[in-house]
Amino acid sequence: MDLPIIHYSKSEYIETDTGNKVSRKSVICGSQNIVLGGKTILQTGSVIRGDLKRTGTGHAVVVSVGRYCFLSQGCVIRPPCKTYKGVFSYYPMKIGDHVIIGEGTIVQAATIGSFVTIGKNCVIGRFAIIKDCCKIEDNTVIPPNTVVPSFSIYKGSPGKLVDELPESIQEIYEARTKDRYAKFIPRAD
Amino acid sequence: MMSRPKLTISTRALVCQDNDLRGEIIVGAGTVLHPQCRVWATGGPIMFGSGNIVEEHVVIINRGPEPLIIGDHNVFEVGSVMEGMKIGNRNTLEVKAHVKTGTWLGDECVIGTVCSTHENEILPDRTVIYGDKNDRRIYSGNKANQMSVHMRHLEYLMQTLPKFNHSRTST
Repeated sequence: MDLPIIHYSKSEYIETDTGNKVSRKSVICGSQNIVLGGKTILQTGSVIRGDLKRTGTGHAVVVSVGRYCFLSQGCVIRPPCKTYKGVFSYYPMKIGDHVIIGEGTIVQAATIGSFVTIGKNCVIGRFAIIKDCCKIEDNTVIPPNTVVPSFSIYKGSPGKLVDELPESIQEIYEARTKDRYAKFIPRAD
Repeated sequence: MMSRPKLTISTRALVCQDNDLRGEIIVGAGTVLHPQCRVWATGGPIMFGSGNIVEEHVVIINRGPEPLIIGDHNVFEVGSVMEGMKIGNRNTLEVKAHVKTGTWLGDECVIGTVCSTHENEILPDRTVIYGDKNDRRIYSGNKANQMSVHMRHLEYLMQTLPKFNHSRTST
């Protein structure tokens, strides 16, 4: 598996101290409520909604993203909402390390574990929980409140278990996300 | 450069900046337009009633000369596309739902996740489109509970969004 080298224009991306590369054309609302773990890439047109925070609490982390994550073009990360004990609120979302989210995917999950790959144009429903080491194929719809167990491959609308991943997948995904970060380099001009 | 949109926004509506509005748009009281939504009145005007929620990446287009009238308390979830002729009250377009050109939506319809309508059809009230084969049925339950959740959602957005986003006013 050899990933192609992706060149980006240096003026478009901002690189933070911890190595996050954030496109200026991405939309980040409520940036004080978002944590990026480091070496995470946010591509053009991705949206993270940190403004939809829990009611009542003061300063709170709304979206936390781990290390070596890759948020592709046009994906939307927005925290899930529900009424609990008569109070409507949005709830925090956590994304683990080494997570790849494909183009045009909309994520409203409660938790996404580490070493997860989500394909293009997926919809991850509200309060879904995706455990570690999973793969969601392209165009999958994970309904709200679903729990996707570890080492599973989900596909279809509604998403169903179609196959399992080998135990070595953790190393494979780790190597792949590190490779992807290393090959995301500024254009020499 | 395209011409500036002609906006008429109620003082009690919340229209975030950072979205793409074109043409003549009228926004009623209590309607919330999130950032990154696209409302293109390239043909006739688009009129929002009260209490609608339009989330990010939503596309609402009116190509024809007739005005597109959107009723009250509708929800357009992330990535849904509305190209229809008319939409009633209390409808929900779930994530990536697609209402095609010339379609009329009645009241209390639900277009499920990634589902779409046909072109030029008239959906009766309480139609639910669901699943990967766009199955249909008529909703038989009571939507009163849903309405109370919607009202609380609006209340929450009205409180929270202005803290983090700039809002637009009428032109």
